[in-house]
Amino acid sequence: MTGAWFVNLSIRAKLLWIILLTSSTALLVVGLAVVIYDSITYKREQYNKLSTQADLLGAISTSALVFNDPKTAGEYLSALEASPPIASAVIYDSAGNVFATFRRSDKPKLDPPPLEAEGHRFKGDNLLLFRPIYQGGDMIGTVYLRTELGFKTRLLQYAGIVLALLAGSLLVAFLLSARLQRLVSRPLLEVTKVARQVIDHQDFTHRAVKHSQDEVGVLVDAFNQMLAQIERREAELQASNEALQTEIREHKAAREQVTRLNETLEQRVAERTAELESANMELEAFSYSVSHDLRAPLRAIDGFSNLLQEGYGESFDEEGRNYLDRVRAASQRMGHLIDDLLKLSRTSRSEMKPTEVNLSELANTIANELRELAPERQVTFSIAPDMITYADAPLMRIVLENLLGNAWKFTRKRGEARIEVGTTIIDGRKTYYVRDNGTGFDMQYADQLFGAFQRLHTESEFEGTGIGLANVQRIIRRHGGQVWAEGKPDEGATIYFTLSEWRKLS
Amino acid sequence: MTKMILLVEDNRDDEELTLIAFRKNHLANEIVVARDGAEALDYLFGTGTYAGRDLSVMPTVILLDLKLPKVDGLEVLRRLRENERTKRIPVVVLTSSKEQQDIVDSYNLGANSYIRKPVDFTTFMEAARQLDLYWLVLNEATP
Repeated sequence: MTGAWFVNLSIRAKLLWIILLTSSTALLVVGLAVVIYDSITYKREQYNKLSTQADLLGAISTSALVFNDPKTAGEYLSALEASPPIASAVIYDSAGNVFATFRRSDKPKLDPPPLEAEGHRFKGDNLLLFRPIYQGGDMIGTVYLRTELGFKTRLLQYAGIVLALLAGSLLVAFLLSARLQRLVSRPLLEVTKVARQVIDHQDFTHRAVKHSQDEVGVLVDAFNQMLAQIERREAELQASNEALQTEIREHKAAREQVTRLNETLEQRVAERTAELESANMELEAFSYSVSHDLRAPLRAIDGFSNLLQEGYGESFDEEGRNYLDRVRAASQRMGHLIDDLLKLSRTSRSEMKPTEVNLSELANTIANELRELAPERQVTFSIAPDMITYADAPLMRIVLENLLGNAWKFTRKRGEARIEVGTTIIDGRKTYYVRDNGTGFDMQYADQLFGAFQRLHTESEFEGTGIGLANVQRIIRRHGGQVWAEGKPDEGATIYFTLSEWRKLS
Repeated sequence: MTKMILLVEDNRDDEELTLIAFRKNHLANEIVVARDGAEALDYLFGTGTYAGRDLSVMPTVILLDLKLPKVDGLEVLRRLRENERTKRIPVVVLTSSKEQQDIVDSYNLGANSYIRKPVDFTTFMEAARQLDLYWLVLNEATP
């Protein structure tokens, strides 16, 4: 408890306490030594004094004892009144009986103590002394003296002196130490003050002042070095913090910009989608109108031309009837064109549902359908097995129907017609092809093949509206692929197409 | 009792050609023509210009165009299928349209057949002949 109390004192107070305790302890020890030494010498002094007095008394009392004159002996004794320390005195005769007595007038009456052998002893505050009196070698009596030492008064005096000295020396020590201890405590207090400032204000620019080369000086140096180091670290930390902050701000700005761009993009996509939807709806309405309204007048043209032919045929000459035939043929052909146009628009609009499609199976099915339509023809189909891809099945059927249908149509004049369906690698891409040994075409017209209603042959040579390959191209493009043709007149044609492989992932 | 056909057709040419096709096929049935959806409904329900018509006389089959003025073909179909008196009359949709949506809608509303009018008159005549044969001769109507 006391320890803790002391430990928590300030260094200044500790130093003060240590100095005061040390000096007062030293003073007390010295005081005690002085008192002991004094009491020993004082006692000896008193004994010597008393012993001399006893010898003197014995010498002058000899004759009184020899002549048995107690009155004279009493007179001698009364002279002791002048030597104050002696409180009482007794003279005994040789038989040990009281011969004469003395009592200081201010002391109470004291019965003479019984005779004792030669010697002295201290009793309380008194010194007692017995001394035999000799006459020619014979002991003729004994002197007894008692003196009061006054130790109590003496001790009190000493205590007063020591206390006064103690108080004085403590005051001096206090004043001295209060000044001297600053030499030790001030540098420490200064370091402490700086440390407190640093902690309170987080300001690492403060430095403690060095006053000496002692341990405190080392402490100040170490403390200042530490502060310098912390200050440097703090600066570095702040710099890196600022860099980080800047980076975060830039990131945030970039993110905001991305968000803004995204919003704009989303808005644009929404706008475009709306535009496309509206365009699609217009296209729907248009194709519906084409499908429904354009056919009606054609039907009337064809119908009434027919009725003219049948009911009024005789009214026309050969040329007139021929014109009527051509009116009907033209209207029917326009009907087909309209139908094909609608097919083309449907190909572009229909929703794609990609699935796994076996092109080999599909090609075989179509080949069989073609054979059934014209069983008399001799056509060799060579279809590679296991051509499996990922595409919209109904659209792929339209592609193969058109390509095989064309090959079938343009090999009509061949005695030994051959149609081949297979795959090859062109520019690292898997490429499908349909090859025939039919009429072929001049490569300078290759680009025109895929245009809508573009034909390289006359209607009388090979029938058709010229929409088939245009349709194929649309479908292949919707599948992310490409389509192109190679050919030579009278040697045959090959149509190549690719399909986007990424669709497998979706 | 002669069997009667209700032809709902707004196009005069188509009407004429259809009538000729039936006549050429020597089909002597009576043909009533309604030139828009509203007129067709008036006829069937005895309202408007047909108020007071003998409603015991109902067509054996209705040939219905889809694109009609006032009330369109699909609406006519819907209303006559809702009516107890007309809901069992066979309806053949006879139209120029080959739109999938039209075909699906027609069947959903209870059409019995869907025929696209061909441009070629010869084919059209053949279609008319078969239509007549099937719905007026072979098919047993509800009693």
